[in-house]
Amino acid sequence: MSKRKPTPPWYAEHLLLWFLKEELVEEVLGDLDEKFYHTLDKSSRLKAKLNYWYQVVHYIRPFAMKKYRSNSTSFIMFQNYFKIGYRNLFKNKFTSFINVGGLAIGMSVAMLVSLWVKDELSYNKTHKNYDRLAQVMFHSNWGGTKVSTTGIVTTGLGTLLKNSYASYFEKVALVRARLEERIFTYKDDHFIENGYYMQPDGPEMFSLKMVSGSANGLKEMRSVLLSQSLAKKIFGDTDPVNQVVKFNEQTDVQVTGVYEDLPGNSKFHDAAYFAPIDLFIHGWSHLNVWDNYNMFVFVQLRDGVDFNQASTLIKDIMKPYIQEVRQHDLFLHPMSKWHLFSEFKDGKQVTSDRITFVWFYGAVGIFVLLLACVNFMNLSTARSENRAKEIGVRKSMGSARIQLFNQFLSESILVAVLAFTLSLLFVSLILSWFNSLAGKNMIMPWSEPFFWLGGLGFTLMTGLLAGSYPAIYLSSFNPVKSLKGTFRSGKNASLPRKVLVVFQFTVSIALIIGTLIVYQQIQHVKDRPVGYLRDGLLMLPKRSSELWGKHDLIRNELVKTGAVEEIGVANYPLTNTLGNNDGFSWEGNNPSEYHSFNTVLVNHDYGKTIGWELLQGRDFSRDNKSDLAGVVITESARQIMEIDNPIGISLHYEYGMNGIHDFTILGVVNDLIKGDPFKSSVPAIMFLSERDLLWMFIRIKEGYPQNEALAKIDNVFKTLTPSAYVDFKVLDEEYSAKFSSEERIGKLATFFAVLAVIISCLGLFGLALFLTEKRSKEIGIRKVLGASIIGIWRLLTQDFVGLVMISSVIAIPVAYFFLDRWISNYDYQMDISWWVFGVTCMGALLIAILTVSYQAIKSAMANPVNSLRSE
Amino acid sequence: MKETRLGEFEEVLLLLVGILGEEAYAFKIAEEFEGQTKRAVSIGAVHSTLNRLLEKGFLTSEMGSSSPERGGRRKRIYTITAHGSRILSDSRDFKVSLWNQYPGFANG
Repeated sequence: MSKRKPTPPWYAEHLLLWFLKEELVEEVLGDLDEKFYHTLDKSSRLKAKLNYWYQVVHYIRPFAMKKYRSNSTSFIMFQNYFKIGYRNLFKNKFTSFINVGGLAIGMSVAMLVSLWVKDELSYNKTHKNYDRLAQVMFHSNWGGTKVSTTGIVTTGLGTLLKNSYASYFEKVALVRARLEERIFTYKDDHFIENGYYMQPDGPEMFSLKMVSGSANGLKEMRSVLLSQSLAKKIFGDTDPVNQVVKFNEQTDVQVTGVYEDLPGNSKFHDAAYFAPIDLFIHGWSHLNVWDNYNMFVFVQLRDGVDFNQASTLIKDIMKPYIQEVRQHDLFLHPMSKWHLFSEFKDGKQVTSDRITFVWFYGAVGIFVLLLACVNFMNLSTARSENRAKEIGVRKSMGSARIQLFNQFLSESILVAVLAFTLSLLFVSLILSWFNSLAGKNMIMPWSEPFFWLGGLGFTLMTGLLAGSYPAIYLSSFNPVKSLKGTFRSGKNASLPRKVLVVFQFTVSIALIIGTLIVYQQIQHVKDRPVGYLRDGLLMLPKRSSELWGKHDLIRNELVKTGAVEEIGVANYPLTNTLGNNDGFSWEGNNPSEYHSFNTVLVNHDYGKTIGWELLQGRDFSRDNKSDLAGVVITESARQIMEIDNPIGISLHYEYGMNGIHDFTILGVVNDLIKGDPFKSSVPAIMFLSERDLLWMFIRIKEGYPQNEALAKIDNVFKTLTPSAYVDFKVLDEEYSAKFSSEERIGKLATFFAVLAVIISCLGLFGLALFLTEKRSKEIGIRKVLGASIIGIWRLLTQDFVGLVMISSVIAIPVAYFFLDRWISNYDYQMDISWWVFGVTCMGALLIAILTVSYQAIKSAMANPVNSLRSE
Repeated sequence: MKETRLGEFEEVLLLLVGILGEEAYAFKIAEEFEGQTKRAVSIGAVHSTLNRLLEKGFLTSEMGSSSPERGGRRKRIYTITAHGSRILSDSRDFKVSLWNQYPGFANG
């Protein structure tokens, strides 16, 4: 017996029968059967079946498909609603454009904001052990009320946790407490990169995804793990593993692994490499130090141990190892809190700036979306009077109120879906621009079901929200009145509309004021005196050994070029406030108060080079040998010491500097702003050093063109130190970079404010358009009776002016309240000037008048015959 | 007014209908098309175009005989109308006239 005769696939046939027109069934099924057996003769059964499917799918063409008709009345009604809605949309193209466009902009903003918020909330989540990782931090009590919190600890603590608490912590890793900048040299190419030094367990704890090599690659002291992008930069297409690079032009290290770049929302994302901590401490320190706070310690909890339990356990473990009076209370700070909950004050966690911004932008997003919804409601209610007759007809034909309710809801959902599609398009177009604005690396989550679920749910919500008011309001019309044409929406009808306009303008005005104040604050801080001359000042870290010990030679040569005024050195740059020490005492100081000063070693020429401003006393002098036991302090240090004339006063330094413990104050200079320019200045004490120091400062002669000077300086270094990598930093640029996050806030605020204003104006414009159309007959009659264009313009605009004025009155105190709080976050703050409020309100008024005037003047200029002719 | 120009695919199908005569139904036409042009085509595509040619009035159709391998179902047989053959010969004449004007090939 032969096998059972194969038949065409049953599912495919059913699919075909489902969509195919009745009258085509016979011929098509016949043709396809014939094709099937024909193919079966020539090739396999599988091919024949597949081909059948192929043929069926290719019958999905308009000519062959059933016209879908349902007999269900509610279906037909819905079809009708969509049809009417669609026709309405196209009948009033302009108002529809405002409606859909406005809603789309609102949705885009909401979408961008939610992407941003999602990014903020997803920090560090890519690390596999997210739930088990924590940083060891401590509150330290200085006696009295002052409690400070930090995560910078000693190497000894890390070693202690690792050796004695292994039953709680699966892994412990010490990480150098800041990014270290290193020069990588490979075949004469130099690369300056930032990275972290960490213990060998680190890479596995943070689940680095290895592209090649091993995550275990930090065991050897002279090894390094590179990020994929850095490996590519250095080695190109060569296999990086086991290659040797020169580290800081001194040490050869071997590349033991390459890891996938960490995403921008990881704590370690700005590290291009990880190197062993042993390499960092080699030759000057060890892993059991208890008096140098320079490390982070990260721990990975064992299963079954929770953060609180472990926190309590380790609270006092530092006590036996330190002699200081202050008390350290250790605790674990879980990874999930690192990004948004890492600000502490007086030993307690406080609301961080970041979480404030998450709230702030979230609120702005919701507000802008609300504005857009408000527009939609506003226009729909306004236009409703034109549709009064339609509602009358529907009601007398027997429409129940619930049906009308459904109709308007389905209409607004139609618009919302349209707007959603537009906003998807818009957002995907501007996302890369927004990324650069927000300093993020967000992508459209096209493939995430959550995004679609959220997006569509949100569209439906918006549609319902925007449509609910007209749905309730319009369906309540009295059919007899609306058919007779006597339907008038009374005073009550315009009240909610006015409230909505007021609400929009309030938000817009508040946002504009906010933007202006943010920029003013930034400008205010930019204009802050920094205590030295930024222009024409260069800074150069002497990373290459070749640059050391040649100070006088370099100085002479540089001055010889004629481009350089002076050069000085210090052990810290002018762009951070590293190097803080306590242990100072002076006559009359209160020992119970804790003071820490920024201590900097400088040479004789430093002050002259950076151009600090002496307020009292004198600079260090070469003529005075005893100046080695002298210090120059800053104004804020003098204020802390509470001495009016500190020159000649002696200062005792517990730990000593260059073996000297007692110093004399030689001079007082203006505060040097080296750290965050928004914060109050850090009090500093400058010591004299005769040694060569790490940071070289070069003062270009005044008026000398910077580019030429740079070329000449570069030339000198090329001649004197040919193989050293010389990396100038222009002070002015470094300083400007300190404003990036505030400028980002400013730009984002501008972006949102502009959108809010656009949406408000669109709304106002649409409303004006409607109201003037409504009054076109009245305007015609007025003109016939001799009204002037100005008179009619005034008549049409005065309503709106009043509304905007009310908005101003509401917006000013609201904006003031929030901005005052924002500004008080900064130590160096400006006074909020009242003219900003005035100017903004005037501006809003002007914009409103302009928006309305276009329509008002157009209808005032129209020929009255046109509006009066038709009846 | 109905579109009266012929596309390339349409023209080929029209010719195939003429060639196949009594056997001109969708499956056969598709087979013949694939055989003559070595281009793959789905029956749906052929059917859709035949339908369009019907609407343009170049073809008529009627239900023909059935056969066992069609599961006893009848087939729709297409025939060229007078209008259709005129369009075909117009198209040929036009192309011949173009070829005659083509310098390198005129009259061989």
